[in-house]
Amino acid sequence: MENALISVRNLKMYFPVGTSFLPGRRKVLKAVDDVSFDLYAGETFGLVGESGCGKTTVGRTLVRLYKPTGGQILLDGTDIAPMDERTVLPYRKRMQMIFQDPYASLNPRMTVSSIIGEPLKLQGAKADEIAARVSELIEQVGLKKDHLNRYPHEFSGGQRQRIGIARALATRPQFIVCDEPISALDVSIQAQVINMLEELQEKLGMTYLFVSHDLSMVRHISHRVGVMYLGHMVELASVEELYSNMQHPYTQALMSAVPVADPDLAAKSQRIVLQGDVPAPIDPPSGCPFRTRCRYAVKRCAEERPELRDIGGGHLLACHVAGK
Amino acid sequence: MALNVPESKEYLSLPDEMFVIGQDDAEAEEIVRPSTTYWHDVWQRFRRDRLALVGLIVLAAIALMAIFVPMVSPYSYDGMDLASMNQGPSLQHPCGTDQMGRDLFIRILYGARISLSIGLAAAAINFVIGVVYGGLSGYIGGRADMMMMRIVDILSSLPSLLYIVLIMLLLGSNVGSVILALCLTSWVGTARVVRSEVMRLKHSEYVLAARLSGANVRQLLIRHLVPNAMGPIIVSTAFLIPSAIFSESFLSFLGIGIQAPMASWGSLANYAIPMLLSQPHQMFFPVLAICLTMFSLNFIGDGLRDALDPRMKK
Repeated sequence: MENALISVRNLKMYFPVGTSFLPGRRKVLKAVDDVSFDLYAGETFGLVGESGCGKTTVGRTLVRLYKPTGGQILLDGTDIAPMDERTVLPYRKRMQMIFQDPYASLNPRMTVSSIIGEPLKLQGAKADEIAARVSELIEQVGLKKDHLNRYPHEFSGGQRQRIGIARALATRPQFIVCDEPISALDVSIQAQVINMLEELQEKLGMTYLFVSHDLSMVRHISHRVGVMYLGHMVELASVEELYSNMQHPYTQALMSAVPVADPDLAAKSQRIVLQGDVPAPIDPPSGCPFRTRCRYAVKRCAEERPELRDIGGGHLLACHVAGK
Repeated sequence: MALNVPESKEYLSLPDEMFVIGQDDAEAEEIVRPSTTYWHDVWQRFRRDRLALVGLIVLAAIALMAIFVPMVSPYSYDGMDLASMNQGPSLQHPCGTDQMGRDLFIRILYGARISLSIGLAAAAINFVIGVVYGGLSGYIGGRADMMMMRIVDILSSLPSLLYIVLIMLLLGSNVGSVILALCLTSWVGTARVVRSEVMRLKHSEYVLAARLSGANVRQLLIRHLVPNAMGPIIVSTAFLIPSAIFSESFLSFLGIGIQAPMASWGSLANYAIPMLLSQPHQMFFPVLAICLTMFSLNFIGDGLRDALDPRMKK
């Protein structure tokens, strides 16, 4: 393996559900259960899946906004998963996050310059250093210096997202989690923001974890893609491999739901419609998480959880039936 | 049947401008709305509330008179003039005099000093304790939050009059002990409000972003959580001022608050009881002062609540 910037091994993130006076009798929600993957320096890793499959939780756990229940997060070989808030700080400085909702991710009571400058201020930078860096950043994301003294509500969604990106860039991180950064934006603005993210990656050599449910956008921006279902990684491959040779029945169903712009092609393509709903993550099915909705499910799927295995060329698949 | 379409080319060709998608970027990004801050908007909304505005003016007038009139008045709060006892309102004594010949107007203004400063001090202390306690409880959450809230429940279920009387007896009747007695448990309301606001806000993305950059609990509370919870906090504090003033008046009226020759509105009303039938003005003016202040503060509180909540925008 080449140099993995971040290696995730058997990551587990469980949340207690409800409050109970009796310890040990709480239900847990397994938002992320036993997920492993690598992130290589300079690449964009796309993480897709439907709502509630745990992709956002993976992103937030990687930057240690949550303390994982189990597993390892190796940042350049150091396991940051078991660290507490204070010891993780120096490592967290190398990571940042771009949030989904540009209306909720900026403090409405702070000016743009104090929002962008906040990470620097918290690191103890001097006022004149912060001011210089902030005006450099605001131009880097395509806004003007005279926007700096305004408040977030004076900006459009796209502009706010640019402010959020400038804040993420402030401390020169190596790794950025993009948590559905474009899903709240207009289509015309989405392209602008995506182009900017790509340019910045090229210029600054950052690594992205791109969490999204927009499969076409993930295909455009990612180098490798992981598909999640109910807290598990079910398929992982390079973008060319995954989009041309998808194996997992869930991936196939997911991809078939992508709208096709060409009506002739759309008429030809067959939509795989899944039966039923996603099972509740509080009470997941035994064995393969997808078996309750899978049309190929066999007896073994209910008894044994399929492990991720390499079916050739770094294409990982977790399925008993497919890929043989 | 063929459609009657003219064959002229002009009919079919549309102007090129119609095919330009979107506009010039520089213009589209221009911001039209003038730059206004949150507090500017709040003031605009507050100003439209007539009652609240009148309340603010009345309260300001009382406060200014309480500060400046005693500086220039020939009378003092304890200056007795036995030659002019129990006079009715006149040009010399706008509110008349009491049974010791003291000018009632100046005593009411001294009472305003005491009542208003007790109200403000109680509100300020409540604000600080409530914000810190509620903020920590809401932010930390879990078991610590449960313990802290049970303490709050216990405090708020104590019969307040009982321990207030005890404290006054123990520490003696002065302004300090009145404030202490009033603040001992009244911060729980503010703490509850702050806690619920902090619990609502602590998962918002800007708080996550600040945590990611290494902000600690204190920085999160000061920079992000409390400023955004300010609306409800201010409202609950604004309603605390009148209740503190009223409690003080009540205590003084019972005779365990501010003691003579110092004057508070409650004690002035108390002294007026024996003279109620012959000299009703001695009761009327202190009570009028209490009423005006209560109405003003409650109207201001109402106005603030509406003004701080943008959803109430008409």
